[in-house]
Amino acid sequence: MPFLNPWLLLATTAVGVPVLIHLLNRHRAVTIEWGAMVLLRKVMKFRSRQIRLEDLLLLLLRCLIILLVVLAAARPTTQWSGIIRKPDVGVVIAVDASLSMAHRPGLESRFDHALDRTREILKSVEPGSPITLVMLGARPRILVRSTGYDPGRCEEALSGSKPLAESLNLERCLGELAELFAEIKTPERELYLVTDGQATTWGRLSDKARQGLSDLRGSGRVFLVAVENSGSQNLAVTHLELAAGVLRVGALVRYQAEICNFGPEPQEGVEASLLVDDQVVEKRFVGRLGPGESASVPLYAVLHREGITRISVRLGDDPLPDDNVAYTVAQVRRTVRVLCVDGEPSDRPHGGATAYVAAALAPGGLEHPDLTMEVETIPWLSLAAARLRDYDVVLLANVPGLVDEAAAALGGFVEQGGGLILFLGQNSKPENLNRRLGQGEPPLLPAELISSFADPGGAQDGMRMDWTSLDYPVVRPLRSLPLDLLSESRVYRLFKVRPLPESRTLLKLSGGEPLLLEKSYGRGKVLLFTSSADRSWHNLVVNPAYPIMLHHAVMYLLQQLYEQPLTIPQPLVLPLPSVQPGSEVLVTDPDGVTSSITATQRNGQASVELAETLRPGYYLIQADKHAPAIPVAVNLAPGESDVKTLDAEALGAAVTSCGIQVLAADQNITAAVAQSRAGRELWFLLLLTAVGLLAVESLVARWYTRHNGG
Amino acid sequence: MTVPSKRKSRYLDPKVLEKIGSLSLVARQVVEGLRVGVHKSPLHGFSTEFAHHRPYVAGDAVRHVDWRVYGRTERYYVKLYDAETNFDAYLLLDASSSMRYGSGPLSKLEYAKFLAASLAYLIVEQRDSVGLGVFDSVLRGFVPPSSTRGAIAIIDRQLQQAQPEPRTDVGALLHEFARRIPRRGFVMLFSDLFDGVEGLIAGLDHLHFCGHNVTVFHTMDPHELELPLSGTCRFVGLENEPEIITQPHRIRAAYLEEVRRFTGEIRRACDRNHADYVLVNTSRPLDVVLADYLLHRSRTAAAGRWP
Repeated sequence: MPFLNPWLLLATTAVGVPVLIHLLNRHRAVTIEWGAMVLLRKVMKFRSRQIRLEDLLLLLLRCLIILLVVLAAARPTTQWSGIIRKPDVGVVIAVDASLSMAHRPGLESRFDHALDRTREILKSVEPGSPITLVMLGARPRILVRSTGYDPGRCEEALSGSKPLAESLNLERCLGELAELFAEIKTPERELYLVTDGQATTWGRLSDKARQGLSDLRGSGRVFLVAVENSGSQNLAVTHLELAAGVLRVGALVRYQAEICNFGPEPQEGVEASLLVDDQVVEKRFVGRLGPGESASVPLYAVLHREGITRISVRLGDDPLPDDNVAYTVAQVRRTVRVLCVDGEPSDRPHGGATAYVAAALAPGGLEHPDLTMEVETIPWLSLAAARLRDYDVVLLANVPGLVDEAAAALGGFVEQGGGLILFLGQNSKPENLNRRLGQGEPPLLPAELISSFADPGGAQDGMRMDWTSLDYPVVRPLRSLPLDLLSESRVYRLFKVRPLPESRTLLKLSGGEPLLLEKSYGRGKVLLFTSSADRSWHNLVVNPAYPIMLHHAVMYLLQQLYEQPLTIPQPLVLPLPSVQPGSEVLVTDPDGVTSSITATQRNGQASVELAETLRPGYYLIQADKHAPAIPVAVNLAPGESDVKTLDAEALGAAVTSCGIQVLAADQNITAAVAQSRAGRELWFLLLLTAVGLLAVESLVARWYTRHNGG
Repeated sequence: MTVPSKRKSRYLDPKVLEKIGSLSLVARQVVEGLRVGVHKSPLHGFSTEFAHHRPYVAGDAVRHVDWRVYGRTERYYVKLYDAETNFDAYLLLDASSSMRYGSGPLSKLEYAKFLAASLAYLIVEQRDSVGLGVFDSVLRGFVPPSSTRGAIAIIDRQLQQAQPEPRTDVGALLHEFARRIPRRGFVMLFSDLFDGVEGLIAGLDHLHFCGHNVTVFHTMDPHELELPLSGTCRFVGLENEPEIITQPHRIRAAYLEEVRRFTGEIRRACDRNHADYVLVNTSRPLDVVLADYLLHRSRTAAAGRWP
């Protein structure tokens, strides 16, 4: 019979204590000189034997009680069921179903191996014992919840499960697992975490995750079950964006795809394909990618069709195909119309505040409209009379101020989805602009204008710009330019501004002063450039960055919400101006499953909302079955593409402080589980018996005293 | 016979007796406290010479009725004697080692001495003779019966000299006195009677056969009667018996049963031999014990048990 605390068996020597006390009592007897010895002797003739028997019985009882208590403290266990029902062991099995588990180097994926391990675990579960089966991803998906184990039902649940296109959110999953674990109301509980041990998850455990594991351990036995995985080869497309070009019919556009080799071996002959509306339009040979190396691949396409276009980049097949594709959506227009409002109109060539802007946006001028945008320039006094809805973007340059009508028209224009770019200059009157554009609720301007200033240091070569943080779409394409080229730019004068909390600074001086800010307004956006549009306050206009930035600024302002790809499991929220709140909208996921969702009211208009996106690809949104579908691109989170795993030893080291047992992929689960299940503990039974005997001993002793005490 | 008042009882409590110490003083206090002498003592002598009969009249003692005459004549006649004689009383004190035991301020021996002294005083006050015999396994000391007041002093002295010795043999002593005493008298035995009931019974038989009036004052300590002890005790005998280690509370019921059987056997033996049996608990006040005994004697005499 095994003992959980065998060292306590040394305390069985305490059984001698009652014997010792009995012997000591005899030695500590009070001596009494007695006269009636003849009477005493007659009594003792027949009582002494009885007393010896009584003493023996009481001594045996006391020794037995002590022995039982010591044995109970030593916590014996038995595997014997016999008349005792086998121990109830409740089990929670949580299977890692994140994207990396779909890695399939051969015939079987890691997930298949995980299911096999799960079936091994289930062999050790008694039918009827409470069991919970969970798939883990960004959050747990419960297949079976705290019900009596039914082999058929569990097998059906396992067979129907598959990996999720999500990263494993270990902290959240552990928190919910703790609740599921606590629901198991059995004397013994076991939790099995079946996982590939992905290094990006398990090799960098947060304190919260460690605490979560420790908390689970406090509720029962926890096992980390590693699954077999052979190899971690994986190529992935980690990013795709429009790098250059105007999304116009017939225009050549450049997409930039980021391809990364996450595997331990170099990859030769990598080829990327650009698809437009699922048609391959270009293939680019990437060449050799070493382990951990990334390559930024340009892919070109001419967009021939006006409307919403699906753009994707694919790689060849590898063990994890889901991350070999990146998706995006482009709204291709027949033309892009930009209205430039000049605050300093001039007849001179390159005169006027908007001359450089117009040249940057439409270098060929109106004679060659096909490859550029249609740019029209008006003097600022004509703004109030202009039909803004005929344009896609309105650009104000060095405008002194606005009348109420013009300001209201601009606000309405942006709210309906138009884009506004505001350049300042020597004519700009901050008090007027603040009043007209900065005091609404919400305000149109991204910042409050204060006053213009030159370099406080008085340097003649101007203030430098900060090119280190080019993270936003408008300025991100500038990363492809050499830094020394960008560093030639100087700003001589700009407006000091006070940015609003809801705005973003996209570009700034090296001293921190904002240069380019962005703010959303209704369905549109506003960009504020705190310096001039021409070279009066800076020399950026003669830098290649200027037209690139302007082009991207216009395209950014034109971009619709559905053109911004989502990352699993981000929610999908799409305004549908043509739909009434409360009406049913059809949503088809990338697997082709269509569901009907009720449009809700958000910011004064109808929107369709999906709480989470689960699969990479295009989600199609239709106002009704006859309406054209609006595709929304959803991509995988790039973190899951690194499928390198920790071996059992490293896994053990990672969780060593949490007190959980790691079972290697080749380790026999049944044997390990049997070893950990020490069987039914008998301490309670022994303790109960000891208490019962104590009561019996007390009653017997009292009966002897009462019966023989006269 | 009046029973002493409670105020007197307290004075004669054994705890108080120990402090008084003087047997003579105590005896006088006891007897005077009982107001014996004012009333007729229940201890009275024997008449041996029959004179003649006279018809019974109301008020005559029933014990004097001659029943043989009644049987013949169906009329009641009383016997008349020449005179009642004085009697000799013999106080026999067991001074064996077992009498040394006492759980309270007085041992059984000391208590018995006070009791004997009190009775001696009583007897002398009524101008009868009293003698003393102190014994253990043999007779250690003897004072011949005398009715003088000096006898009290002699008895007092003899009693004080009595020291406990290991063994006792009551039966043998009773036989010796049965042979030694020339004429009928009172024999008062003060003992715990632990040496053997059979010897005692034989002795009583002998004394009864000789016509003596026997009173057995069975002197026992309250602890010996009730065994109120607890814990583990090593009982060491006062007469060199082997020790016994036991837990008294565990044998108490059996012990009490044995005490009942023991005293019952002695009482029955006394009854058979028309001897008075007085179980003396040495925790009781002396005068209460004596008063109970004298009251018993009065009732017995009135019932005509004794001649």
